[in-house]
Amino acid sequence: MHPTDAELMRDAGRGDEAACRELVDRHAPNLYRLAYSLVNNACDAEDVLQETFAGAFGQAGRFQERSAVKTWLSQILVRQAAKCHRSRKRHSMTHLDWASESTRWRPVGKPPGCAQTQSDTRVDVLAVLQTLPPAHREIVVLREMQGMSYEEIAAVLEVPCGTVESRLFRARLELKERLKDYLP
Amino acid sequence: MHNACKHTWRVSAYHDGELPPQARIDFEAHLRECADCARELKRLRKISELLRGAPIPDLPAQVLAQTRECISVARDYSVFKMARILTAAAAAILVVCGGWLWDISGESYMPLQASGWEQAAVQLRVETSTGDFQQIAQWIVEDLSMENGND
Repeated sequence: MHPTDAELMRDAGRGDEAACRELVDRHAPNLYRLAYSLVNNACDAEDVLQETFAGAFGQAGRFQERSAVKTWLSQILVRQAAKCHRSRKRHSMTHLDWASESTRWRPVGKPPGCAQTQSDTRVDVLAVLQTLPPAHREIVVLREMQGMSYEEIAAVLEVPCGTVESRLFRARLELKERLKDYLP
Repeated sequence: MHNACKHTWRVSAYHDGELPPQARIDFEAHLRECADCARELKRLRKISELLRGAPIPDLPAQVLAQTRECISVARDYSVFKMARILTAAAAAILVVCGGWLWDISGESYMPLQASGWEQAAVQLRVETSTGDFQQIAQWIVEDLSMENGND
């Protein structure tokens, strides 16, 4: 019988490297997709993923099983991704050779009616996500790309379910405004 | 993009399947009659479609291997982090103490301002050291006679 995530995390807290490896194998693929959706960049997504596991195993002894391991890891990852965004912003402000924010995140696809491929639109969506405020980007990614319920999102973001609903509503308002050329 | 219907805000929760069963049934009835909410629902579905179709790459095998390798490093992560905090704290203490010592050493070169009675005492000692020995002898005798009187 396979050990549960919580049992593995308990063993990881005692320094069991096999348990750590098993947790990486189970959760890394999904966490990588979450990281990529949040930072839209393979290199940063790798860093965020590794920082997440480093942080989780560094304090595995403190895991209190109040939430699922997946939720706890997602929570750490969302924080790491926010940190990555902040440092990227600082970096872009101190390096003039970077393109300006508006140029970097400008949608590259064409509005409906012009010759447009499906991949153009997909690139736009990931780029548009990066223009949302962090709290809105996180909630959209957790709901739309991770398929989490409001309750799971509330646990990851440590906010009440009502806040999830209202924040998601506002985030979608912004998204609609940015994607209006692609919507019915 | 603005909708007139006051129930539009519920479309989001309906779309996510987060409305309670009865509220869901009621809202479906509303949707059949409200063009604004029906259009809003179509937009949300399109946004979901776009987001779910976003090209998110799978975790490369090489990155998975690197992440597994990080575990042994990760075990030392908290120790390393603590070491960094302690180093920063030690540096801060060093700077503060350095500043404090600098202040103290600076103060030692400043001339001391003696109080009035100390200056008077010093002057008196100078006077007596060069003064009249007879006068001193007289003070001693007076002193002794006073002590004897007290006894």
